Amino acid sequence: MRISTTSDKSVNQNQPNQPNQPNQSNQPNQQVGIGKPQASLWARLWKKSHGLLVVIFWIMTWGIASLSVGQELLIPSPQVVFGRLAVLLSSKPFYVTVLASMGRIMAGFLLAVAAGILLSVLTETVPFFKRLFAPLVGMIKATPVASFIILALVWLNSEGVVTFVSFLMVLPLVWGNLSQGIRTTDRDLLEMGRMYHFSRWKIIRYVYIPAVMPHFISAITTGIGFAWKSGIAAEVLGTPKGSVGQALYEAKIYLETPDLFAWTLVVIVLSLIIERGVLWLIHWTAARL
Amino acid sequence: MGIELIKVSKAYGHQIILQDFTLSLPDKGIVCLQGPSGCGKTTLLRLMAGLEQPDHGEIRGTASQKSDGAPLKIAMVFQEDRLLPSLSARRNIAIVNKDVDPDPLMDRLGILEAADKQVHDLSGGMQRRVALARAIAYGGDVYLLDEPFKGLDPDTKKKIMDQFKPLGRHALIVFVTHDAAEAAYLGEQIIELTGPPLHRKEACLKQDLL
Repeated sequence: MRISTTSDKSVNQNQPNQPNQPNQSNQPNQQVGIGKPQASLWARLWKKSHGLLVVIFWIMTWGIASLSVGQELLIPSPQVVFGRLAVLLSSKPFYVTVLASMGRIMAGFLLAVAAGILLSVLTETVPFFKRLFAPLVGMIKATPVASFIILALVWLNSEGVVTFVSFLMVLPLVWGNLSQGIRTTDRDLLEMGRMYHFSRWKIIRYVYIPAVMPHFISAITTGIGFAWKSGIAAEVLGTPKGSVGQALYEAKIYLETPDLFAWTLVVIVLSLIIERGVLWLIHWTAARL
Repeated sequence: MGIELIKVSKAYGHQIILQDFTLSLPDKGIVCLQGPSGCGKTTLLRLMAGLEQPDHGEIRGTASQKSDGAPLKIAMVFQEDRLLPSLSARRNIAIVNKDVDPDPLMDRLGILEAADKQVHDLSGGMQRRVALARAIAYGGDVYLLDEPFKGLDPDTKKKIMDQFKPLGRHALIVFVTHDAAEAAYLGEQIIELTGPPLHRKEACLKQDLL
């Protein structure tokens, strides 16, 4: 299944076929084959530098803001923050801390995705379950994250709270988006599938999944951000030992604003990397289904 | 007897589409249901397909039940193309019958060069032909075609209609149109309808001129 067009891939796939074609002169063909990726490499470099320029612009804006305020405590300068970041990155405990937080948060996220898929299918196929679960979703959506965190701290240890809170924040998102995807699946195509005696699997594979995929991807993208935000909030309140949240909490106590900035940058970058990775994985899986 | 409707009534809310409508169709041949837009032809076709249940009356010979008991195999072309958007033209056809090679069929319908394209990259006329090719590839005892040739230019239309003519020797083809020329060219039996509520204007058996 193709969700987005991957032009680079198709170029690469065509290349091995070229020598087999009834074309006597292999030499020019190979040159074309080498030339194409180079061109796209330049295009990619140009695109990348575009992004870099944007990043540089915002770092400069930050630097100017910091200079005009003139107090490292309020807005630390980029130099100081990156200096702090470099110190963090060169220490081993940093990686242990980041991995521990990431593990807890992503566990909550993945559980929420799995539960969201199951619940959306259940509530969209059995109307009774929809009515039964509707108040629950409404409640989870409206309850402040802080209430959940404090409540969960009473029940669970501080590590468990992080996973639980990330789970609770992502679940309604995946559930709601997938339900909408299932509801808005083309009735006409379902009827066509029935008329042509499609198997249940064919209906799921060729009618439901393509219809639900955009909703799913949007839930995943928003969900990863949600999981990190709420998970880190839970860590700050519960301060499990050796967590990003604990580092942030200490930065607050000792008024180490550069630390706060550095850790925040780490979370942002991690969240983006994981988002890209998960999206890539979804596309990869969908293409091989 | 292919399909038989006995005193069938169907209404959507207060809108009565069919009232005590009776019609019997042979088990092979090409029958054209001709009538103005909105007279209830599509509802009639959907009732025959078993996609709608009649409020009153009886339908014999639908997807659920042949006159001798076994279900009829029905290949349907809807008013909309209803193609699977994530698949190529070829796979849209192959998916309904893995035992049929879609390429010769696509060639006859003039869509072979579009075989590997995603269906949403095809023109309207091409998409229509993919939907028609899908029905032919599926095969069946009955073909129910709802305005099958709309959006096709006259030459293509004729070419496609010629593909359906031989199918009428072994199966029942029911096609709906408001185009009298289409009806005259392809229909062996033309049933003129009007409504709603749907009723027959007149029936005439067209003599085979050839």
